[in-house]
Amino acid sequence: MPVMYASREVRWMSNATSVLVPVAALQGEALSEALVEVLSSVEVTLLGYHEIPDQTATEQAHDQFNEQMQRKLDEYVELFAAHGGTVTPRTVFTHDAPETFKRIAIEEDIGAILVTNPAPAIDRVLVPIRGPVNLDPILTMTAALSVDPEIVLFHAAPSDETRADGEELLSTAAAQLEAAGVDPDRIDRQLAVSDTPIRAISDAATDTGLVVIGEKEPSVVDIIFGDAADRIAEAAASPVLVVRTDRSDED
Amino acid sequence: MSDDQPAPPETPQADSHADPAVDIGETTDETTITEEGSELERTIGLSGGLTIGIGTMIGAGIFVFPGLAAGNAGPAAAVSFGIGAIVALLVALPTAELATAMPKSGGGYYFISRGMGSLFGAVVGLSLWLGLVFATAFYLVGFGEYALAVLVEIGLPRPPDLGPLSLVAVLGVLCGVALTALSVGGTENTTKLQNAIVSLLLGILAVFLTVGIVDALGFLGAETTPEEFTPFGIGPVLSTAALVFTSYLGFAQIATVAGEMKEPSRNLPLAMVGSVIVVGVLYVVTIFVATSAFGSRELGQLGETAIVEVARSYLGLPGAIAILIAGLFATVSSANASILSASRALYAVSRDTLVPKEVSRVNLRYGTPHLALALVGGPTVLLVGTGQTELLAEVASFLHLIMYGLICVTLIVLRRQSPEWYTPTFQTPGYPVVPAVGGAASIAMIAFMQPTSQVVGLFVMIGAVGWYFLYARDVRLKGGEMDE
Repeated sequence: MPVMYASREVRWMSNATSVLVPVAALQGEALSEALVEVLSSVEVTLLGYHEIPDQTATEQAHDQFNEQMQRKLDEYVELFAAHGGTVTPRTVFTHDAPETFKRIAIEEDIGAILVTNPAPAIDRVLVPIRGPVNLDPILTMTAALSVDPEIVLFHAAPSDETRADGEELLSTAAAQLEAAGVDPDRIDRQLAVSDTPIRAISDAATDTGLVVIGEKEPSVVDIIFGDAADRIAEAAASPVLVVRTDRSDED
Repeated sequence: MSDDQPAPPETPQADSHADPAVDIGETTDETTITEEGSELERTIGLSGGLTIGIGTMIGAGIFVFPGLAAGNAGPAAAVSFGIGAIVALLVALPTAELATAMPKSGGGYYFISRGMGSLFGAVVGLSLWLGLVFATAFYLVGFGEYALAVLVEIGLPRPPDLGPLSLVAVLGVLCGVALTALSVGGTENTTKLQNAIVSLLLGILAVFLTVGIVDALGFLGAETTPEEFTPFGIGPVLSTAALVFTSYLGFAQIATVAGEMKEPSRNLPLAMVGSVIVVGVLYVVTIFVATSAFGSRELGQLGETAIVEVARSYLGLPGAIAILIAGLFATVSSANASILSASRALYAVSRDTLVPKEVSRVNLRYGTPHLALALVGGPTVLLVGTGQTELLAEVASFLHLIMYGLICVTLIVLRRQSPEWYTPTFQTPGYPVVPAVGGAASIAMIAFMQPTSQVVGLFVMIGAVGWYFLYARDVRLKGGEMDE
């Protein structure tokens, strides 16, 4: 028997620590055990999705692949269950995966969306912080993750003059994490001076198991080159948890 | 078939009124939720729907027909296009109502099979597929004409025809093969590309038609003996209306993607009615501008690319080049949209096992239905080889008009029987006059076609009926359970 889907009807209460985990199950996209373990302490919506070109009706793909999809998804659900996590599975056939993610994130008031990448082990979590604006949701999500990886708070200061501001930002963040119950020994702070912050973050992320970053960094570069989180995910080859920072003004 | 006695669901007659709600799943503004609990994302918005409609229609009405139509009917060809628009509107309204009640892939086939049973369904499903194949071939012949005109414009000597095939046909065949290969390969963002092309086309046309109107109104005042409005009489006006009706087939293509439209109850009627009105106005204005520039006999001799010469007369060489390029894009986008719709139509019939299921199998790697696309592209290319613009256009219209007639009948049948599942969110205004007149007008259009087109169309329909009795006689349409 397939898993229960009843929870679709239930809209969760605003849940800052819920995570949307999209997996292209039919393309054989895998979730590593390390990742499942880190996410076992938060509410996970597991989204099995299949993106199809415009030539094909979504119903057509559903007729043919739905069973296979459900079977795959059940395997992932069991993996989460084995680590004591709670998971709500959903399956979607779509022509436009990002649009689907956005819709479901809004529908379920999701706190963060995972960009999957292989993660053999997660013993460091990189948390790039640009400024004080999005600090709260990012840190709340970080503190909610399970197990005890080292948390590296990272800030890229554009110049030497702004170093001091960066240091202050990082210590505020560290204090906030501590207040949220994170063991201070696990918290590390890193400051880099760079005028290409995305590259600095990508470099810092290379030997990290997971990156937690706020979405929609308001910078011109992001508009030209695409979303910062996506570019970091591509460059770092590690999973990226994109924290939704503007949940209030949703359309 | 439609039995007036409401039958309990267990009896075989239930076939003709199978409850499609079970089959469709629950429809929300953004998804369809299937029986198995999966979601099908709706990704086409209002502008996407309008683009499908306008993009499919505009290629024929503006870039292929004006010369032929004016040659047949004189300046009154504008009336022919107007008649076409009115008939299309009368059918678009009932189609929109049915589509909001059954927002699902397959369009006209789906409504008719669920309203009137599997025999009518099979005939419409198969003739919709072939009707779209004929339409695609027609657009590709148009493309060939434009490609040739481009070659001539850049000064290449006209190469000799290859054996029995005209050069136009060869160019059209090449384009058809390329489009089919592209769709099989799983090109991404075809929708976005289509949007961009349609916006570009509308932009070029806005400039051209505005200049044309301003100029034409000036001419009319100056001209001493304006051409008679109906130089060839009333008869040709009606037969031209039948010929150019191919320019209005696009609104039904919107229904074939009904399963993927966002907010279907709002967007389906708006997109269908809106696209017919937009192209109808553009067509009438185009004919007015064209017949103001040249006499109708001259336009008739200019043939499929007459509008290029019209643009040249108003805007000089840049105008001619802009319209040439627009014509290439318009005919390609029409052909492309029709190939995709035809593959959807085949999917819908194979899903109900009226043709083998294998036909619509999706390839996991490319994500596209290879066989269905090949079954559209293959026959299309053969038909393009004939190079018969008018015949292809009329047969395409014939097969669509049969479906339109049946759509109107289906609406009346469903309204009268009002099964529990039939809850359209859009109501056809003027019921029952609109569907009755729409249905009658659709069939009447066929009567004004050339005899050859009528014979070919009839053969296709007889073939479809034959197929039904040979292959699909005992097919039960899905209502309750999903039968494999």
